[in-house]
Amino acid sequence: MLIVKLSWRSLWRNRRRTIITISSIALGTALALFLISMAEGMYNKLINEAVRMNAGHVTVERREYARAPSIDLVVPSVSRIETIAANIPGLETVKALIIGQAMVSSASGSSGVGLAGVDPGIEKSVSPLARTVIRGRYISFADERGVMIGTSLAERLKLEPGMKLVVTVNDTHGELANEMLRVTGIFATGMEEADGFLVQVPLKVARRIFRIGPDEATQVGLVLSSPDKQEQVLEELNALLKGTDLAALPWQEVMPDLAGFMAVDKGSNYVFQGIIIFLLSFTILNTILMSVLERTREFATLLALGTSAFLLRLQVIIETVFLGLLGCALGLGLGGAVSWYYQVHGLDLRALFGDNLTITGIAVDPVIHNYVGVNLVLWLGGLVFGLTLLIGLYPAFKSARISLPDVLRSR
Amino acid sequence: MKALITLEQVVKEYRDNGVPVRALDGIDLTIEPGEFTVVAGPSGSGKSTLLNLIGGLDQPTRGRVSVAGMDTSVLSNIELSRMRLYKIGFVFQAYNLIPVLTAYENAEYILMLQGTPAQKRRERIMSLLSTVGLKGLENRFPRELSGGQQQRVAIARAIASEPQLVLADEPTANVDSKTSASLLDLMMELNRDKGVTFLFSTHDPAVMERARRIIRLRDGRIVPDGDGPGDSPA
Ligand SMILES: Nc1ncnc2c1ncn2[C@@H]1O[C@H](COP(=O)(O)OP(=O)(O)O)[C@@H](O)[C@H]1O
Ligand SMILES: [Mg+2]
Repeated sequence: MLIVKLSWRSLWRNRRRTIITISSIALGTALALFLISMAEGMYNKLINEAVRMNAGHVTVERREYARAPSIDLVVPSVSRIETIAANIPGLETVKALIIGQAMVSSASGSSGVGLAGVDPGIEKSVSPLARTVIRGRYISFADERGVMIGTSLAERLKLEPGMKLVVTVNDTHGELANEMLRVTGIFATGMEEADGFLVQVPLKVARRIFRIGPDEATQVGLVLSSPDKQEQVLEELNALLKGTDLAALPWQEVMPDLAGFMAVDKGSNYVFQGIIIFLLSFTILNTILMSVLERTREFATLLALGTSAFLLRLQVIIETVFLGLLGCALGLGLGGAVSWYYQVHGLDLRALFGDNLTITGIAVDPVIHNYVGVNLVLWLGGLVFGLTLLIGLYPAFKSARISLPDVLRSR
Repeated sequence: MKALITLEQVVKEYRDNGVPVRALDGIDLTIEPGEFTVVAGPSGSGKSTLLNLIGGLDQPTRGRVSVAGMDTSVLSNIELSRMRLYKIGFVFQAYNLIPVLTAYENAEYILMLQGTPAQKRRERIMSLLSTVGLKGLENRFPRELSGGQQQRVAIARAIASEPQLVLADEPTANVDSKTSASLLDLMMELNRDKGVTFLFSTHDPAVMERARRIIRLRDGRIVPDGDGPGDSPA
């Protein structure tokens, strides 16, 4: 108690310096929290849009499919997967997909594309793509010959809604098959991969073209209400799929490019935050060291009176603890509040990036919502606090390394 | 009675820019419990060095210093620290109070370290502060006290735990002669009433006059009684 009192009062003896130090710790922490939560928010959004547009947080497919995707590697019973998935908590929706290669031709030319068979009803409710239709309308279940194309493909092939195009594929029987389809609508996601090289048709149309059975699909995607459940869902599903030739994969494996981008981006963020924290460390070290060095006389007295070196060092460490705790609490409070504000209201980056922000080819809403998780707050708080403590060790050590006679004798 | 302090052929040398300076040059000295001894001598004669060696703040270059039966040269830093905490009280020339603690808290400091229960601390410090004439000033911080008052706090702190020995290095050097006399009165009274052994240094003739035992230092040596001109014993 005595030592806590000594530490606390010593800290406030140089009020200005203490306030500056606490403020720098707080600002550094707040900045880090804001930037990390912004990145987290961006990743969450990115993942969210990507998994909804593609094959879900968790994808069920044939074991060999990931290595060599092929139209004849199908999930034999989509309805069975749907039944299994229905019991999984946190499931938002199940989307069956048929993905294959195709060639589309119009009077003006032809192009190789990816042909995706989707359930129009589900797609309309979950996929961001369905919300970017700029001309015509999105396909519906009833469209026997409907096809959605992207804006740059439409430009190349000079197609407009209502016009005809011919799709040519290699079907599952290894035969070349043609179908005449009619453009239902044109989408503009802002991503060239989709707008130039993706066409979507209702599932039953894809099944007909590729000659795939009515309950079959190349992928069955599970969209979860919360990405945190991914691990658990994967585990459960894989347990259920044991012994079959099906596997449940996380989106990270299904979309390795996106996962890779995020890993690299996180890495560069860490470097940046590392620099902030490094600079911060110097401020803290400097303050504590200074406050220790200018008190050698006082420390010499304490030691002469019989205070143990341990206790003296502890006093300095407790001062550091106070600095760290106050700075951290303030910083987390401030950073948390600002981040929370933008989590709720969104941070509009349109001024910086324009209307179309894409990251690894995935369109991102330029209004960023931070994501402040409890984990992040605890983790960052722990890091800054721990670091402060660590930095305090050297000054603490130094505080008791005094030549008593020399210090006491100098007046 | 067994001697409280014994010095045998103690030499202390410092290096001042590589040149050896002999601060103490073969000191032999014995101090019995309950004594009130003044170490007198001009500035630079080795008074502080002597008190520092006895207080375990420094080690002799040669010779033996033993305090309460312990040879200080064989004690570890931790043992020396404990010796200072439990056996010795210190009063320094410069006031050396802890600036962030009040008069009361400064006086209480040693008892806190020793783990004395709160109730007992309170009783002892309150009565001690009134003994040293600081009643009513308990909650003042050092900067709110005069030099003499600060030295009284330091004396209270030094004797609060009733140590066997109080070392006071020129405790009256920074106060006026009236204050100096009253501080001396206080220490003599504590020596008489509580039996505290005092060893304190001064270069003030007025203080030397009142000492019961004087050890005169000159150039690091003890001057035999009656040897020095003008150093007539009281
Ligand atoms: N740390 C030191 N380094 C060098 N010389 C010292 C040191 N401490 C004391 N001295 C020298 O030792 C002698 C005695 O000093 P000191 O014990 O402080 O005398 P006093 O207290 O009587 O004034 C002086 O000459 C002083 O300069
Ligand atoms: Mg001196």
